[in-house]
Amino acid sequence: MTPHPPEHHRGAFVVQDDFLETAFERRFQGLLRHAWLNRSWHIIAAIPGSGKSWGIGDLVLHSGACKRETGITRLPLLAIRAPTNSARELALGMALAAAFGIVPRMTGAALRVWLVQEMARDEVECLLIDDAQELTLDHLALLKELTDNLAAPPYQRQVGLCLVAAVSGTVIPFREVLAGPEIRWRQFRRRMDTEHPYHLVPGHTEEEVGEILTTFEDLYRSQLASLQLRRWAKTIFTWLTNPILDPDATGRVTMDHLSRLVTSSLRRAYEQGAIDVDATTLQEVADLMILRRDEITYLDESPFQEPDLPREVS
Amino acid sequence: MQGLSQVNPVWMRTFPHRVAPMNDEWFPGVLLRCDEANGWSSGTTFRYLRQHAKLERFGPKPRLMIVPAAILEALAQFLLIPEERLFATTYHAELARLYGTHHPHGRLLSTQFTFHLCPACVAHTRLLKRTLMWPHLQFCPLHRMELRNTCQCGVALWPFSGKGSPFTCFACGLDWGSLPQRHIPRRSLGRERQLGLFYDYFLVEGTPKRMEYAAEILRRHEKEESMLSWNEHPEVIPYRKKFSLGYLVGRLVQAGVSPRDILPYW
Repeated sequence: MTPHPPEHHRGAFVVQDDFLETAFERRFQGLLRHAWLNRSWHIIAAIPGSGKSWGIGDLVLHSGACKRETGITRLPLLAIRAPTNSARELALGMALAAAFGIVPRMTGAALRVWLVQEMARDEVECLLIDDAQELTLDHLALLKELTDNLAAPPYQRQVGLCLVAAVSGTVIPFREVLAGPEIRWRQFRRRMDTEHPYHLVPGHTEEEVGEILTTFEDLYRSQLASLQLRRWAKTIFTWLTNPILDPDATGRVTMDHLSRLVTSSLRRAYEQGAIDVDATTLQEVADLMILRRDEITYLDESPFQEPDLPREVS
Repeated sequence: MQGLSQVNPVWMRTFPHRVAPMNDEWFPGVLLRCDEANGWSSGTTFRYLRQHAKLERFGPKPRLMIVPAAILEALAQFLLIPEERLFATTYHAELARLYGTHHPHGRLLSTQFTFHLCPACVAHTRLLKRTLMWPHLQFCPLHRMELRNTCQCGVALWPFSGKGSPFTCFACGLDWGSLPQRHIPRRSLGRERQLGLFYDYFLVEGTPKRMEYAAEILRRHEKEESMLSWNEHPEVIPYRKKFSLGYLVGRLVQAGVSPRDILPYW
């Protein structure tokens, strides 16, 4: 570790958790933008921790949604998380309604009508559903009904649809159901994109990990002046594609693992007064993530030291 | 704040469509425009506010000249507008000053209330004007149209119909903006102008002392006109008793007292 003169006034380590446009995000957001632009339907899958929710969040923030005092609201991208509290279609309806803001309680039938009207009024162009692996067939049926009603007169609005799912391996949710003979699912399947209905978005290659490490260097240079992370790209890639962290043997690295390794290592280095991170610190954190990831910490005392308070003498 | 971005966490805590009070808009008008903007049936916003503020004690036909602070506060939050703008859609401040109380009652404007509207105001801007709720007024000062309190189908109009669309008759569904428009007859112009001048005076500059002074002028005027003693006069305005502004203004106009006559000498 690079030695550094002790600093008496070094503040707490600050984690930089802004959205990074990584190679995965470029691939993933590219698909979402394609669906938005072409009003096409896709099921997009990636392994957990890839950064799907971050990508959706970032896209939604820059989608131009706005509520004006004049009563005009625009919501080009209607993004929600799939409901996990109920398999009934009303749960999805309520989740969709909540994306618009506060909505008074209404009956299921009234809610369906209102949702179609509201999507038309707010000029919704694409529906994004995160954690789509949680959706039930009832939810899918409601999505079909709503989008069909929106496409019919008087609205005649085609909307894109992206069901974004977390997967393990290469099994994409709903693929088998949609390939089935039932009319409803055949209709649903017909609405999906002709060329690329199903996508599996991979994580980062070694080279892409190197790019991200360069970005991290820039982000943390104000706290660790001589930070040089990129030189550890190959080592880090090897650690993070260990079967423990990559059980599906994708040979790719997720952003979650990469940012955890980097952040924890940099925090340790920073707290030790260093201005760069060394191999030992990185190795320690990698060991924690790979070999000791399920280790239990026994906490016998309060983690916070109480200040010495003056005691009253009896 | 003009436009609310989705970046703002307040997005989820506001109604899907925000409206803001127009100049001289009456509180129920804001609620109805909120219903209309959001695609809800008439009175949905009001019902939601009552539930949210846990205020269910309104009668079946609240007048809403004075609105509980909890409801104003909640609506200001859901529309993301300053509470003062909503406060200005009621007559709270004016009646509080006029009667020297912090907690005025809506009945101080008038003990009897008839909901009426100008079809032209509704047709043009969906506006229910606060000043049109003045008692005894029969015509819209802006459009010089007769105010309507019943639909063509004969049903009395009311702001919140429950299941119908906002700004429509709950019985026949006719849009209030499509109600027949009848121009003010020339003979009524003077009376309407007098009413407007009196209300303007009391609601803008009125104080308990000025109101009592006007009542005293009216007493003397009626005594002189009738040539009766105080005791014999059948409708003399009582001393030391609260009466509504609508009652006083109605009597002043009826007695032919001019707004100039009640201006204080001090």
